[in-house]
Amino acid sequence: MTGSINFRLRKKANAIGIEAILILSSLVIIFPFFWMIVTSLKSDADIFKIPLTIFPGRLFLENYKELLADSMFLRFYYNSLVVSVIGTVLSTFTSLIAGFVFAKFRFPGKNFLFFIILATLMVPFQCYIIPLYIMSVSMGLIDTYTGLIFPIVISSFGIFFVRQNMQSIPDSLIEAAKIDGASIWRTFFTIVLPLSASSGVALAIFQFMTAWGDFIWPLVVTNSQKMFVLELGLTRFRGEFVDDYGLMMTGATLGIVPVVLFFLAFRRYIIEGVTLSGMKS
Amino acid sequence: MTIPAKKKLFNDKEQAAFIIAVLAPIITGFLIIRIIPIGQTFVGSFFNWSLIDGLGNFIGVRNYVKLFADKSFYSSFMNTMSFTFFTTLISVVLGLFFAYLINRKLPFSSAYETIIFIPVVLTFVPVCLVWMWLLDWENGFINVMLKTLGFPRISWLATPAMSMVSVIIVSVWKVIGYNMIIFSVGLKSISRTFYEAAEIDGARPWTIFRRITLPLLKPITLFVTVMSVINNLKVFTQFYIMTQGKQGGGAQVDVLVSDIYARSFVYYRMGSASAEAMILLVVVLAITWTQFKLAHEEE
Repeated sequence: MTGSINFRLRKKANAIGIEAILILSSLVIIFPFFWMIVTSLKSDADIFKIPLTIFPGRLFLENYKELLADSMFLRFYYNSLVVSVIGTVLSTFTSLIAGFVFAKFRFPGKNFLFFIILATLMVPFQCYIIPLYIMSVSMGLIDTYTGLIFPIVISSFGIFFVRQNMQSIPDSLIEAAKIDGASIWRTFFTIVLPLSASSGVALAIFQFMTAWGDFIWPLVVTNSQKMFVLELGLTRFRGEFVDDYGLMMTGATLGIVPVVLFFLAFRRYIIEGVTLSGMKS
Repeated sequence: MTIPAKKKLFNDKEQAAFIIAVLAPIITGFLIIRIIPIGQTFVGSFFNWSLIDGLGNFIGVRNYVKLFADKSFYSSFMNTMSFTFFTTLISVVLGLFFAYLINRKLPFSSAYETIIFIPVVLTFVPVCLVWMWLLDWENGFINVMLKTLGFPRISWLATPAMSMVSVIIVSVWKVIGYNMIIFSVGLKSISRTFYEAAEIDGARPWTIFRRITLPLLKPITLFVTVMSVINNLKVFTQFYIMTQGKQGGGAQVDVLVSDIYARSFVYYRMGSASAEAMILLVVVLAITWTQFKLAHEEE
């Protein structure tokens, strides 16, 4: 008896210890956000006050007013949205339809084509950025949306991911559609797509987040501020306003908060998408 | 699950038309944005190639030979390796640690999981800005706290070595949640009966972890480690934002990708940059290949 009580006590103590570690770690991990938001709401006097105060003496909204009145800043947002939305729609669509072809058909050269697509999965984007840049220059794509979007419209990972998922769709369903006289296109849109909805959404979210966070390609392919995406636009806080931490944190907050809200809204899908994408090799 | 040849889903003609209609544009696009550029980088790495004068003459492996004697390549390579080593090591260990704790199914497990995962979904630029403010020498929260508690302040971003440490901290912070999620998938797949049997035998938690959890997690650990190594080899944004550009204080730290970037888009030496890109590719492929081999050995 005493043994079992001891055992339970030890378990309880363990649980409390773990809880404490988790609470503490969560606080440490969340702290930068907290500090970012608090700083964005402080006046300079409050930011540099010694001794340091946690909360602003009085709520200071000038930084937000300044940034939200700045048409350039809104433009960065708009550019990011255009690039990420169009890029996601195109890459998700090409992945779905090519994945379908690779999952459900037999044709000469299929294995070879699929192998090529799979092989490029391992090649880092940075390894072919130079020719892409030269191509963009010669085709006049610098500082255009087309230039920003074209490298991401086809995704090796997406095609692979969709193929894996669609293989589990039973052939009998497709066959039933065929008996009803549906064309392949129709079958794809009315039978296959609805059945792949959840993996399609996970893929789209993954693509969207990748596009939204892309940095090096926009850095290379855009020169004028008018075409900057948000990631690029935010870098100016490091230069122009190097000491204006209030404004810098306001910019960071405006960059981060929508992403966090997006995450919290689609948490299940995002975690699933990330986990699945993790399994890509 | 491919379709047996005799049992075709559609008639040949319709099927052929569909496949061509779908694959022709996709494969063409794929050639243009992936295959040809990769080929051009490879070929270009053997040429005298500058952005201004275009492709010059064939010079064999001279771009590679020159790179190996080049100080900036050497330091970029070394920096990339030490960044990759430490970031991977720390983030994999912490990822496993948190996955293990969260898998204990405590009342608020899913809340902790969400919080630890948040940094994963964020983009690097705002994250770096926030950390640069936290790490600021004069007024940053961390140094102010150190000073208040009577410790000397730390010059987080003033020397290359400390810049490296700072970038590693930020990168680890951002990726722990990712590793945690992958590890918890692995942990969930370990049958409860193993643990129950061990508990009945009176094994201590640490023994259970070492003798049961770790060995069963080996494939996942290998996978997370390799993913993490590959991602870290490609590091760019953190170094670009936190250690380069207008920042004052000369603590610039170069990594492979930033060196490729500088060679090609600052100095326009495309041949040399292509050779460096190929070296990065070879390293990545070698690691992928090793993982593949090891994973197959497991089976």
